[in-house]
Amino acid sequence: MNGGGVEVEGLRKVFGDKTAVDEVSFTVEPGAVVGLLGPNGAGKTTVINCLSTLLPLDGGRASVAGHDVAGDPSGVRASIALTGQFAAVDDVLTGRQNLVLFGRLLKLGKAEAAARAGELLTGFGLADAADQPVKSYSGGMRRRLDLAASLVVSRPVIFLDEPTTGLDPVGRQEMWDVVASLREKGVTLLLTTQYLEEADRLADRIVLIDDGKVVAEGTPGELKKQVGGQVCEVRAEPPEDALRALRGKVDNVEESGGLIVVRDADGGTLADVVAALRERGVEADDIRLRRPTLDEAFIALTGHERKETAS
Amino acid sequence: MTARTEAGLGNLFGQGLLLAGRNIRLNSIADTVSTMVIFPIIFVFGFLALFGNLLSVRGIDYAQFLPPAIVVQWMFSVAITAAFFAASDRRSGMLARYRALAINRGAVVVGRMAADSVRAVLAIAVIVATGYVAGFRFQAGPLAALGFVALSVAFALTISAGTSALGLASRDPESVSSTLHVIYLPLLMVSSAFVPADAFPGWIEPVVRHQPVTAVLDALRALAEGGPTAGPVVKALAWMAGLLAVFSAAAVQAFRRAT
Repeated sequence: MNGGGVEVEGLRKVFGDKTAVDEVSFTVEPGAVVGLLGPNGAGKTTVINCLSTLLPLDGGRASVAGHDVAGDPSGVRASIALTGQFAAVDDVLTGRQNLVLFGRLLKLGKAEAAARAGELLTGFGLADAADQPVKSYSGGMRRRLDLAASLVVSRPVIFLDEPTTGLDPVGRQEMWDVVASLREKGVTLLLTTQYLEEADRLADRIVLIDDGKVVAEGTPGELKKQVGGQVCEVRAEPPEDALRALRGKVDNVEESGGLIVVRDADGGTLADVVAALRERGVEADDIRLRRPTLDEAFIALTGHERKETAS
Repeated sequence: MTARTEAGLGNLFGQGLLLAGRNIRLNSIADTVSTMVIFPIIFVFGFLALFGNLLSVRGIDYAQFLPPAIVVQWMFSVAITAAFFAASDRRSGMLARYRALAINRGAVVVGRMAADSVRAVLAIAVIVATGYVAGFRFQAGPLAALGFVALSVAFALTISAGTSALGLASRDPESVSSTLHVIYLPLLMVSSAFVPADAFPGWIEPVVRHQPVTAVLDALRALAEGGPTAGPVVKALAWMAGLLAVFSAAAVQAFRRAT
């Protein structure tokens, strides 16, 4: 089922006097996994809603699997599977009834819809709960059923809007496994997430958006590089001594969470740090050089910290 | 897999029917025996006990007068439930899911209307049966009786279009349904539902006479009792056509915007 990519060019969406999405452009190659990463309210869901024909564009153009979103919306809908931000399944129906309904709506025959539902329930680890009403499901089970519901008919392009928001670590891990298996099947995947770890882990490329604009784009590795070199971390007790020893000797020193952090570092910096500490007789418990996390990349690229959200 | 799943009447009605089945299943959780059977019975006999003697002094056979009012009341209830489910589907993301699915654009609407019609017909059956026990009769033949049912269902669907527009624009089923109760109760009270228009104080009587709920009630009573029916029925249909035009435009707008 290859052959469907996503192209977005100068996409704009305005709600009243608020520009929710402003000149957003990116491409998802057929078979690739792209993560739209950004804080709550960045415009990620609006992009997905525009691409899945739920919202008209106010500017720019977009195509999904070769179908123009504005010109051929039914072509788009026939090429996509959308798993929205909320697990949209009917609570009072069983998992199986939910899946059969979607199969029948998309014109599978009765037997075919039942077979496909059974296959998906097994594949998503829901076989035991298949005939229980969804309201008895855990958050992770609901989310998997939700994703299964959008895969009843195979589509070349899948949109996953915040697939793990609100899940506990176990549920999140299970969802990640499911996404990994989709990716092996070669479908084109566009997912949104507020979790840097998730984007890092699942996506081939990350499009970082903030306040409706693309602020950075690249592979997880490239983004980390764009933030500057590596980070040198020094663990010492008490940290103040180490901080005093390093001030003036190396640039970009700060204390962060009980650690001394030197940003934009390289092998030379490491040597300077060791020398400066020795000069002052400060003993470090640990000195190491690492690549910046995506969290740090986010702050560097957007100028503010990722907002924690209640939802 | 290559079958067209969006365009065409076959898809509209096939998918509409599937969604109607889904809606009825969801409704059946909300509709208990008490709301669908016991409440109408309490209303019919309760109002009869309260006003029956009072109005017989004015020469009104209240057992004949009352059931259409309870029917109209229940048609409002059907419409408010429709709004509740519209807002629930919006909140749960179900509506967005249907809209992004390669199904006929109108199937969601057909599914909603069909499910509402089923509820309306059920309610009418219970109320009319209760009315029969109390002394209500269709006096103008089976065709007029059928017209009574059809007009009632059409009224339910007309106001459902309006209430659903509100429901679709909201994500809060509870607040939508309490807002709608605030609108519908005065409309029903200040109509000829429970007492005839000339029983109201003079200053409000013109409002009672010329509002749509009274028009529908007059038409339903004419269909039940016989006598001149064309005038009241045409007046009721005119009101409903006007309301439907406004309501459905609003509902379509809200449907297109709902994500």
